[in-house]
Amino acid sequence: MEKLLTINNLNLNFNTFNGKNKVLRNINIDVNKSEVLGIVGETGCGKSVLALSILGLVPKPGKITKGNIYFQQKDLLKLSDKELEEIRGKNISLIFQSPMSALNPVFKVKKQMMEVIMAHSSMGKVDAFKEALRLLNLVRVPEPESVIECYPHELSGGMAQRVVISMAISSQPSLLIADEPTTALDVTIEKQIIKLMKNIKNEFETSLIFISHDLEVIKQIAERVAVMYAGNIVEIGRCEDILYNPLHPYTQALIKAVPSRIKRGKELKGIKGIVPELIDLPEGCIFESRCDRSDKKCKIGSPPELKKISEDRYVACFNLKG
Amino acid sequence: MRAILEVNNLKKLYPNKKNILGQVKNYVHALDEISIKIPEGKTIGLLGESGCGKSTFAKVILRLTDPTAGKIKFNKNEITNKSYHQLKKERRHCQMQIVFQNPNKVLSPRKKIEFLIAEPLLVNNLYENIEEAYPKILKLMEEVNLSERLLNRFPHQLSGGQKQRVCIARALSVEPDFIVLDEPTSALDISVQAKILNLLNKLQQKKSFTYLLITHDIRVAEYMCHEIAVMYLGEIVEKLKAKSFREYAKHPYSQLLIKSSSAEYEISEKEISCAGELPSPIDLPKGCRFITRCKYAIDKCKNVHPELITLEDKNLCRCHLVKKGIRLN
Repeated sequence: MEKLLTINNLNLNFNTFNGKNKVLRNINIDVNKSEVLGIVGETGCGKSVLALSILGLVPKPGKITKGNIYFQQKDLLKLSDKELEEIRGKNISLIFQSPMSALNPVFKVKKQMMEVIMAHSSMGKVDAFKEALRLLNLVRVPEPESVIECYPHELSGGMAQRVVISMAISSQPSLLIADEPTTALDVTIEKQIIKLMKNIKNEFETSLIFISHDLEVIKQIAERVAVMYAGNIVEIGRCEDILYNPLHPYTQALIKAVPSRIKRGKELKGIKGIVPELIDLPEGCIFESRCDRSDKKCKIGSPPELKKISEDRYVACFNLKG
Repeated sequence: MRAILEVNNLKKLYPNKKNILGQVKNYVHALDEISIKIPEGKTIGLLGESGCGKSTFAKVILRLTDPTAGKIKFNKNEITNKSYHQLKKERRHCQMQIVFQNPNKVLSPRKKIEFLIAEPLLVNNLYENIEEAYPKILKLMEEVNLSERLLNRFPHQLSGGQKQRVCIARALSVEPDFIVLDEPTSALDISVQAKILNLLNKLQQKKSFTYLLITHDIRVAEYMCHEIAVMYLGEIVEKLKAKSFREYAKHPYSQLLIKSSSAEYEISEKEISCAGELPSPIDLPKGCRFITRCKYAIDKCKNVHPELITLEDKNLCRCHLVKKGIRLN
């Protein structure tokens, strides 16, 4: 399969007064053409920073110290700002968690959409307006003629997210990054947005990186899943394998912690302890202090690297059996 | 089973627009004719989407805002029309407590944890000062599994789960009988959520609390609750046992929620469009409120507002079709 995006050995630090916060460490990931890669992890594990680093949007104290990001054979980290600008929004676009903060509250939907369309094409105002209507139709907005004249606060959450999605796909990007696009929405709307994104992916053969903290959501859309913990990828594999046969103790614990009817009356299994500080990293495996399976070899030396288990399946753990 | 809280025909309208003379032109119908009994020692779940009135209900029964009409009975005492001072005198407000969704908005960023936990004790004149309340604070910290080291810290030095524990400790401090949990875990990670839910369950077993759990997550409701009430646009549309929620939910809205939250269910092309949004609570549909999203709707649904009927298995449901015995699926 053809690779669209390859991230090699990416390291990213946030330099703070207390020291270097190693937010991403040795990230290796690739995204194939027209594939959905899900990234799961809890708060602070670096999922959003990873998304931002692809677009070169990491905020100030953050600095990529090592690694490469290849997109269509170009190393994004070596491009100038101007060259990146060409790619950003046109070839790679990003959908944020909260549609209300992604849209500018003082301009009408019309103006914001046309701005994006005209920035990436040679269309005039009239054509851009028509194009905007076409895009709104594409994301199934009822009565696009009236929605396009609205200000963002007049739209519901689901509707606003549709507008954001339509802007993101306006230049037919080859990679779409969605950072928790459904977290702010109700379950019934969430389902619609997921289906919509699936349709878009099939129609335009776009690759999609779908970031979420919710395994149920990932299950519905992703083909491959990467599980992140404290700045590391601990497990990558096909979606069914990860969810029904997790190998890394963190993934297993995460799945066990989901409440359900079957677990009524029984105690839920949380994960003991808290995520360690990323400034002075412990030796050995970063999950060691919270792991049930840890032993001597987890406490010393360098952290475990992703090992190939089977076709398309990589796990970073010293103690796989058990 | 004795009901700790009994609510009858509770109504809450918020005035929306006023005309030039200052008369109110229309209202937002936040709660409409809600009647519910909450039995002692149980957990009742209130399930619904954003904007359906779940949190308003919590505020009204705690008397944080006044209801427009209806009666609230707590421990057999009517508290609907009692003033703040009367409530304080009878210490009714101590018997009901609430844990909010976002601990960051509850805990003052300038106060230390020891003060935050002592605050309800001092406000209610149970203790003179923090030194006197210290043994009690330590006991509360132990109950919610927080280490003593944290007492001297500020809220920003704690993790999300720890902050929510502090909020729970604050609610526990005045020894309530009834605690409203308003989305207590939706701001937390799954692994932390598991621990908080465990803690709440343990406390209930130990102290036989009654919980009203407000949530939008079916999985949490099914795990925690004895009974689930589904709310839609300010009214209760269905109430049934949590154990059999997935099998016996009959109302089309409950079924929609169940389908939406199960990963296996694929929605059809037709359902993608935006039809599934709440109508405005200002101009309510004349008949059934769910009619704009219901695919089974018949003519009667357009004109007649359905009543909440009791089905043979003691479940409650508000639907014309279910009343006729038609099985919707």
